[in-house]
Amino acid sequence: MPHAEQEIIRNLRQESSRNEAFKELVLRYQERLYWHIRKIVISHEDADDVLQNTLMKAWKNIGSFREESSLFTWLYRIATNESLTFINSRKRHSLLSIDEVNEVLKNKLETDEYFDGNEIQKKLQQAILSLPEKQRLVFNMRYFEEMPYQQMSEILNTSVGALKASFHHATKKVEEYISTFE
Amino acid sequence: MENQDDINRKLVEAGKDLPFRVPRNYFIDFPARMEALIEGEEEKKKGVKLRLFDYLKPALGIAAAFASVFLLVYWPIKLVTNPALLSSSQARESEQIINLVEHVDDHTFLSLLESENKSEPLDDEILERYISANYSDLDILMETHK
Repeated sequence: MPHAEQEIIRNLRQESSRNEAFKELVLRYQERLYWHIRKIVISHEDADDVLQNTLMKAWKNIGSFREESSLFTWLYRIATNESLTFINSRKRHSLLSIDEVNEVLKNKLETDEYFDGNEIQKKLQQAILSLPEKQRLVFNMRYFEEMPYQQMSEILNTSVGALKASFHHATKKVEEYISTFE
Repeated sequence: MENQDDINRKLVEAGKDLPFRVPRNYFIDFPARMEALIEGEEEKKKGVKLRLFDYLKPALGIAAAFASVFLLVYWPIKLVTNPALLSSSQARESEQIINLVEHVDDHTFLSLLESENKSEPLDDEILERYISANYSDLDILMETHK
């Protein structure tokens, strides 16, 4: 674990330095966590809510962080779980199927005022949104963030082999979707 | 379906940059918003603790009042109106003595009784010391010439 992370954890566990250490944690990881969340929930407002929930959860549970993984991996795992919980709660509340939820996300993409990509970028995002949940996570983490499989394995609690297979299937589906675009 | 080269060309065109943006100064303002959120949460936690004590305070007051009434009024009145409570404590003491005696075997008990009845024979020397310590010469003279 990097020295800076160890210092943040040590300070977070002391009452006197807790607030300052948490500010440092937010400054250090907010952007990476935000973009990870945004790729899952699509709209900025939802990403903002989920980021707040993620960091609040980290604040409340830092005492139970056992340092078996890096602080960043731990935060990433919370962010992933919070994002999926957010989407699934939407699914439950509005009694939507998985396909319908994906359609809702695609619509958000169309109407999102903070989307400023071109047509081919929109098509790529729509292709990603048509993937099953796990493949979508894997594709985003590997394609955009170029995250190593080992780190993805720790975050998603899935074997490296299974992740490679998921990425392969996801890539094929995305390519197929893209190929229909003129 | 297009060939792989066309697909690759499109993916290159799409690039790996995310086509999203955030409101102006979002990442500058976010830490302060998060800090305020946590402060609010901490206040809420303190508030919950305070409310819990506030809820318990009247109940604790009533319990303390009952305890005081019991100790200062009820118990003394009960002692006065019901002397059996006092005698019961005396009865407990005698019971304790009986229990003690029951634990002493017969032989030890008899030897204790015998040792109390035994009186040492008085010799002249002891008698002389006792009389000289407790009586004056005049008393002795008067007593012997009665």
